[in-house]
Amino acid sequence: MPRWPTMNKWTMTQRGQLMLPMIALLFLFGMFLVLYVSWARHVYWQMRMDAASDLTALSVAREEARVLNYLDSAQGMENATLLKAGLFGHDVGTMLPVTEALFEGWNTLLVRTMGNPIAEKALVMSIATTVARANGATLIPIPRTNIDFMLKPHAVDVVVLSWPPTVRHFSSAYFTRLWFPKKTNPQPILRSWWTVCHGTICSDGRARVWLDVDPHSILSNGGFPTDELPWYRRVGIEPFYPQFSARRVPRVGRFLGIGQ
Amino acid sequence: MRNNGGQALIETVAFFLAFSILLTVMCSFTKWMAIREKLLCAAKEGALLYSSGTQTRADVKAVLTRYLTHGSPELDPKGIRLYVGAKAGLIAYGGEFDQIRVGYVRPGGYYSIIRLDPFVEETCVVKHAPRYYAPFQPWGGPAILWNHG
Repeated sequence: MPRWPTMNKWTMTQRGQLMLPMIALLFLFGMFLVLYVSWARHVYWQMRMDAASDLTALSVAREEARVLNYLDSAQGMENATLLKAGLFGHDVGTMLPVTEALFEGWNTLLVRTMGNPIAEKALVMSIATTVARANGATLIPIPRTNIDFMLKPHAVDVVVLSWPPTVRHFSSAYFTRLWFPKKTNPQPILRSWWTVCHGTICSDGRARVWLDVDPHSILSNGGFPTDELPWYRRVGIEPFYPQFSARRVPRVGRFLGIGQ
Repeated sequence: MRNNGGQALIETVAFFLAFSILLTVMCSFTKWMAIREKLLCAAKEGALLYSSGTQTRADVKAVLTRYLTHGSPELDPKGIRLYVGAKAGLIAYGGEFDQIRVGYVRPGGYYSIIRLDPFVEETCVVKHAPRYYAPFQPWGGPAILWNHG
């Protein structure tokens, strides 16, 4: 029986055994396999958390956009009941007694939505938690930005044309935007940034609120009016294009400053 | 009746048998992970596409099927299972959540021999794009509203 050419005292015992070095090799390969599986699981969950954080941030940005559309529409509908103008930096208006109740209805929608930020934050948190958990997160998502719509309430003194005429003061009759007040048609700067974790594997996702309007539109006012409008644009409450939506901030773009 | 060479041969055969089993496990796991990652990419992209409100369910399914049946790993179209639409449940109804489920049944192979579950599925959930204007108004976008199209 010819001998194995590579056999020597290190690979074969006196009785011809190769078992020990081979078991050692198998053990090493088994250890490599365990490490490989562990690494692959980590990569997979990192991919899942990347997806979960992106979808969470996008969902929250869409919720913010939904509220902005709702507010903008509601204050646009107020125009049907209120004739408003800006006089020397002060807003005054007039309305008929028959439209008073309708105006109060729209205004209550506005005030209740904006006047209860804790409820809105709770709603946003529940949306983020639902989406994150449904996408594989095991921990509660952590917001990295403050939830703030950046809107400023404006008071209007309204003369109700009843007999005798009465004057009513509405402290939050409409809202103006605080982002880029000197620009006519800017994009909102509202951002959504969330950290989502599966155990110790975490990822950050970012999205932004986006106004889906042609940038060359003459009528577009950035979704909401501003404090810097000329007098002729302070007649009525500008309701143009409540078309807020959301966009995901691409992961690669963050490093290049694209889509921030 | 045996000699040293005979025993070494038996041990070498046993070693290579065990080694080839481990190698097969590693290759199978790699392929399984590659399939899962492809399904996850498809589910995420499908969720982003459908929830944007610009694509119908049929369009999203067509795009996902094309993606899954091309490139590497190339999946058998007979084994692909797709669900594109609204997520079920009261919370999902209130939040207008979309759900995209991308599943794959691996046909044949050692899966069936050792009775492993050949079905793999990845799911992504996201809120649908908001309505433009207020919900009670008939105009405005997006083109595909939640639970439509």
